[in-house]
Amino acid sequence: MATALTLPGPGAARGLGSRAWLALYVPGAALLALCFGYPLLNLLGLSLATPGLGNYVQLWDSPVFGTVLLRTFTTSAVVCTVCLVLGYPYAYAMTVVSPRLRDLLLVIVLVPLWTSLMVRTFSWLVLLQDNGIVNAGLTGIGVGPLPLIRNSTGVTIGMAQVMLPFAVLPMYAIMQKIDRRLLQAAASCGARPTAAFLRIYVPLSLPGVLVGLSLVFVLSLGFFITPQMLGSPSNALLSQLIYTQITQLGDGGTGAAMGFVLLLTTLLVLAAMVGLRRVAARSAR
Amino acid sequence: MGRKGMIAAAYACTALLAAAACGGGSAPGSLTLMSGGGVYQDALDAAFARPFEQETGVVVHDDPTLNYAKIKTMVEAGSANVDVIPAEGYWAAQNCGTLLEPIDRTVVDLSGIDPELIESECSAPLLTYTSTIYYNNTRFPEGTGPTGCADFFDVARFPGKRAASSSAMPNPLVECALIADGVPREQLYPLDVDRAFRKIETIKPDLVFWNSGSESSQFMLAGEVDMILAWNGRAYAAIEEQNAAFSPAYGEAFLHYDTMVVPKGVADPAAAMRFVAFTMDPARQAKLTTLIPYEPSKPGAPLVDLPPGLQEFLPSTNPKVAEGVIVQNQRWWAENGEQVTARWQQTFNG
Repeated sequence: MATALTLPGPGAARGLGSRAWLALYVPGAALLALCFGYPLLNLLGLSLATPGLGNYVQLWDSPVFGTVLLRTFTTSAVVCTVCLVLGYPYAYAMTVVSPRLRDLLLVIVLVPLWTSLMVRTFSWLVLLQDNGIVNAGLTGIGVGPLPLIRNSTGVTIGMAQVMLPFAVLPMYAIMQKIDRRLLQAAASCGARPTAAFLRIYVPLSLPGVLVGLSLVFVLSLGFFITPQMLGSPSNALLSQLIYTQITQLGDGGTGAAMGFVLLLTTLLVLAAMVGLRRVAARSAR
Repeated sequence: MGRKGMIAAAYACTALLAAAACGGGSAPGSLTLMSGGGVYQDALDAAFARPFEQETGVVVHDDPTLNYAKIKTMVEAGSANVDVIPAEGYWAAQNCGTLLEPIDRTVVDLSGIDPELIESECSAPLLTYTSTIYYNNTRFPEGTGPTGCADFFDVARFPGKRAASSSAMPNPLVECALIADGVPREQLYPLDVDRAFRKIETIKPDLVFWNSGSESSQFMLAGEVDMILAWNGRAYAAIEEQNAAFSPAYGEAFLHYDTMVVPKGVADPAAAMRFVAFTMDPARQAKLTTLIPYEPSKPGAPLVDLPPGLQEFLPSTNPKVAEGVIVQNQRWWAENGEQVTARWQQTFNG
C-alpha cells in the first residue's frame, strides 16, 4: 500500500529497457501473489464458508461490531491529527537547522522505531499510571493527577508516538526539495511571511503531508497491543475483536469476515486520499 | 551492479524467502514443547524437558510462541509440528476430537487427579492455579478489608477501584458476580449469564482491567487499585517478592488448570504420550512448584523447598485458601464461551 502512494520518481525505468523492467517486477509480484494474494483469497473463502453470507449478516446485526469499526476509524483519524500537528513543525525544523542538528533530530524520531513495541507500550504504562512520574509532576505543579491511561488519552499518546516517524519522514522528504527562494520571491512581491508560507510553502508540502498521513492512518487501523494495554475495553479497536474471535473462540469465519470489512473500508478511505492528493497536486501546480 | 546482476539478485532473494517459508516440522526422534515462553517455559524446561531428554534420549525443543489459532491452522493443514502443549482447560475441552488426540490412558496415568479437572478425554491436567481477591492494605487496614466476592461487588461498603482480567474467557468475574448475587457455590453451573452481567453492570464504573499477569502485578505494585481479582502466582510475585502493599481477602478461590494436550497429526504420537506420562509424575510436578508458583495436579509428593512465603498462596499448603476453592467448570466455558464473549463485548467494548 505504501508503494502505491509514494510519488513516482521521474524516469524510473530510464536505466533499463522496458522489458528488463518487467523482469524486475516479476519476483516481487510473484511473492506478493503467493504470500499475500493467495492467503487473502483463502481468508475470503473462510469468511464465506459458513453459511454463505451468514458471517457478514451476523456482523451487520451485531451491536458491537459497527461501534468498534467506527471507533477504529475515528481513533486513526485522531492519531493522524496529532501526528500532523506534532510532525509538520518537526519536519519543517529539520529543513532549516544545521546538518548536525538535523541528524540528531532524525535519530530522535527514528529511535522509537528501533525499540520493541511491547517495551515502549509497557514504559508508557509505567510513566502514565495514576501514581506514575508524569502524574507526580502534574500534581507538583497543581494540575494533576489526571487519568492518562486506560482511556482514549493513553491510546492516542501511545499510538501517536509509534506513528510519528511515518508522518515526519515523508513530510521531510518533500519539504527538503522545496526551493526556499520561492518564499523570498513572494516577499519581494510584497507578501508578508505568513502569507508566503501559507500560500506557497504549505501547498508545495501537501503531497508529503498526504503520503505521511495515509501511512499513519492505514497502519493505525491495525493496532492491537497499544489500545489493549493503554486503553480500557471501551477503547477496543477491531483487531482486538478479531483476535478474540480467532484465538479464544476458534471462530475463523467471523474473524475473517471482520478482517474483510476492515480491508474494504480501508481501501475506500485510501481511494479518497489518493483523490485528495490529485486535487492537492493540481492546486500546487 | 549490472542489469542482469540486479535481476538475478531479485530472483535469488525470492527463492531464499520461499525456501525459508517451507521449513519446520519436528525431526524424527525429537519432540517440540510449545508454551507461552518466559519463566513458564523455563520452568517446564527444567522440571520436565531436560530430565526427559536425559532419560529417554528424545530431544525436546522449546517453542515459546503458544497461540491457539496457530495450532488450529497447523492441524487443519495436516502438519502439526508441535507435539505437546500445556493448554488452558477450556481450550482442551473445546477442541477435543477435532484438533486434539485423546490421551492414551494405557501410557498416561491420571489416577489421583481430581476427577473434576478431567473434563475431556484429551486432557491430562498438569497444574492448577487460583483466581483470588487481594486488597490494598493501605486503603483498608488489615482486618477491615473485603473478604470475598460479596464485598468485591459491594461498592457502598467498599468504595474504590477494582481490577479483573480483561479477557472474557474464562473470566471468574462471572462466577464471582453470581456468588455475590446470592447463588450458592454448589449451584453455580450452568451459569446464569444474564444474572451475572446484571450484577457486573453494578460495578462497571469502578472496574478496570489487567491484560496480562505481569500487568496485574503492576497494579498491586503501584497501588493503583483498591482490590483485584488476580492469579495467586502473580499476587505472590507482587506481594512476597516485591513488597506490594496487598493482602489476600481469602473468600473464594476459583481454581483453573493447565492441561497437557497432543495435537492431531503429530509425527510420533507414542513419543508425545510418553512425554505427557513423564509430566504426570508427582515428584516432578512438585519440583515445578519450586520454580514457578503453580501447584501440582497430582498429589502424592510433598511440596518442599518452596520459596519463602509461597505456602500462604497455595490451596494445598494454606487451609484458608483451600476452604474457598471452587473449581471453574471448563467444560461449561468451552460450550458457552461464545455467548459469554458476545455479552462481555456488548457490556465493555460497545
